[in-house]
Amino acid sequence: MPKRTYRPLQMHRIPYTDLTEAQVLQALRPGVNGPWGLARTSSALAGKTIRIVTDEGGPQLEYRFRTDRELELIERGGKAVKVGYGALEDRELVLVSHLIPGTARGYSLVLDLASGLATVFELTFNGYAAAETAAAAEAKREPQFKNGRRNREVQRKVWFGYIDQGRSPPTARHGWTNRLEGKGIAWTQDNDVEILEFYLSVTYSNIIELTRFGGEMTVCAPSDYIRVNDHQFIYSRIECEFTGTFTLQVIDLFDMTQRGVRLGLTEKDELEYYLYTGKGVVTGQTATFEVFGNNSETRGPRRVYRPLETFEVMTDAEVKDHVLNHAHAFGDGKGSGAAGMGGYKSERVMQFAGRKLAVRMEGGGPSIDYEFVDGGKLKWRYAGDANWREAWYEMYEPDEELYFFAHLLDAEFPRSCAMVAFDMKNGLSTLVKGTTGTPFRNNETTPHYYFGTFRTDGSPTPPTYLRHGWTDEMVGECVTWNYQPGNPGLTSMHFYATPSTYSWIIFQPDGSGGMQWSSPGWYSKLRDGVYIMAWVEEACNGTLGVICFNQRLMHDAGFGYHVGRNGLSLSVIGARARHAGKYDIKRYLGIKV
Amino acid sequence: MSSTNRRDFLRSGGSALGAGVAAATGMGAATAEVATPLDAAVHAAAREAIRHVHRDFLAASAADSAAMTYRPRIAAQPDRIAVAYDGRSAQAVFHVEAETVTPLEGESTLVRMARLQGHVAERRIEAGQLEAEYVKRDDTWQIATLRFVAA
Repeated sequence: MPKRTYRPLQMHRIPYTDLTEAQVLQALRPGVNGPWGLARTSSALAGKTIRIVTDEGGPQLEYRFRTDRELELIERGGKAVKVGYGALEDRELVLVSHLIPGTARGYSLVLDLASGLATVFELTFNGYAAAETAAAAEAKREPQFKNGRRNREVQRKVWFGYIDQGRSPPTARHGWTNRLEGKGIAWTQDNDVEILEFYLSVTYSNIIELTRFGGEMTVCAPSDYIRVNDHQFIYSRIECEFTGTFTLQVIDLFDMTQRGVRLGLTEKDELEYYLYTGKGVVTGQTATFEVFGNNSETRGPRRVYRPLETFEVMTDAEVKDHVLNHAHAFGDGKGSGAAGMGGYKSERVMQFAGRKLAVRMEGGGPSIDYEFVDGGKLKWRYAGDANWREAWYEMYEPDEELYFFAHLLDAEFPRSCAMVAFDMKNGLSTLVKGTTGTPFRNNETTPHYYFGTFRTDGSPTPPTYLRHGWTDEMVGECVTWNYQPGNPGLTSMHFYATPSTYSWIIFQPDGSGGMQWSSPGWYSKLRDGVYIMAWVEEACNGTLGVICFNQRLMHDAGFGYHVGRNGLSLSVIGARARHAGKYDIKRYLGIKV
Repeated sequence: MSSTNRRDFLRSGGSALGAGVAAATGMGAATAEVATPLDAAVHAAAREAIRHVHRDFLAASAADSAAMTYRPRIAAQPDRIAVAYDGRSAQAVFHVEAETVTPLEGESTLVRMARLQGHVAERRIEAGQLEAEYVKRDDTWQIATLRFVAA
């Protein structure tokens, strides 16, 4: 029975070693024997010589498969090198993988013995810094890395081609596709690895590592999707920003099987190079947003989002200065905080002007008294404190007589804000306290949830025991959020992946899913179909986002809390939602042993 | 005008006076011209000159990648050009499709990621009409005012 392994650090918090080229070469040495694996290696190629021609000036490879574990390779008519390999079969497809001795290079390829087509993944370590520098220069932008060697990350080039059989070459090719987009599959591998994969983009994918990381978080990886036919696909990903490990697999949707290879250096800098097979279960299929007829055959380059590399970490002194001297809530009452994420904010609630409110949080949370001076300014004090403070606020009504407002707390370092929901129909309240700083970075934020009650004129007596509380009801849902008019405009899709995480997908101009990233997330329930969801863009830009999501309205009201070079800001979030689908994944998540 | 962008076109004053937006002619669309009792030939020549001004303006707007671009649009009602009795001013309505380009602004994660994948501006296409006023100076028709009205 596979066991869940929980980790002290999630992938985005692990300090991966910045390996030298020599260290990478040393680590790769065992790989010359070929990948290990539990599955029986294919003998389909043993004794055969195969020449592979690829398009666009790609590799020209002559393979002599001496046995089912050893081959000789001649690249572009050069000298033959002998190396170990592994191969797995799926019907007429053969997945082959090997390294090249004495180098930090290798190939993984999928040969289609029926059609004679071949797709070649040319793999290199040591290539990130040079490739990124070149790409940045071409795009006239800053490279997405700062210092270091960046050798541990596998780089891949994908080449489409064919097996040269001495006759007219085929004109067809395997090709890019969006035919997996929106699909989720739960895989159980022959090595007891259980993993949930979600193909929510045409250039990225989500994974939830159930066995290796306990299934708490989802992470995202730049990915490739290649169509062989209507039921067989080639999928790859590279865990960029993390270990840099490369995964390539053939997915067969007829019998829901996979054949794959995993190549990389673990967080302990040890070689991980093995073949695996697996059985899958489709967990769901979400909507896709390309126009009909767009099958993504001509998808653009697969770009890589590198938030860990580009995050600008601020010092204690810098953050302290910003939170004390450059703090602004809602444009200091002018509403300028509506830019960007607040393009569809609802009407502000003004009716509490002149009224009082007392929220009483439990579980060590704050109890705060309020006097709403007008529609944009309030006075607050901790219960029992004589000292009233003034603050800018904005209030919204995400559901009938359910109100949500936010304001900054005391000018101190670290600095906090309060985001308060109170339900005039039942007397219950939730307060999310956002505070600058985490154990990792000063210019990240940390949320604390508190559940409790409140009193104001006309408020009902709250229940004795019932409170707002944590929920997993949103888990598996995908919801698009359009923050500004336009197509795609400022639009993302949220994937509420586990009870403690979510990811977001940024649409490309043609409506296909593009870049993704993920963060921890927290979900609480206020009413049926009304939730407060919070996230912190850890190791990304540190923002705390808290939205009250009304699934009946498919609209939200929320707030963003951020500290950066432009100061501390508390701003509004307001967007329009569409339901994109749901994955049936709860059975895989939660506390397992 | 093919080598002149929209700003140059407006700045030159040769064919436009302080117009806030670009204009497009009703090329391809039927044009119903309001009859006036004065010299029909003079007015016909004026209308033709105004069509030229719009064609030039259309080309200039298309050449300016940062600005609103207009294309002629077939509408239920034809385009209209009305030349004043004295032949010194005119009004016109041209049905157009306007394409706006608005840069993605802000530094949120969403915006940064969108920019990284090449989505640096939002393009919107909107149907509407250009309502223009013209004056004739030194025997040249120039745009005096111009505004786009969404349909």
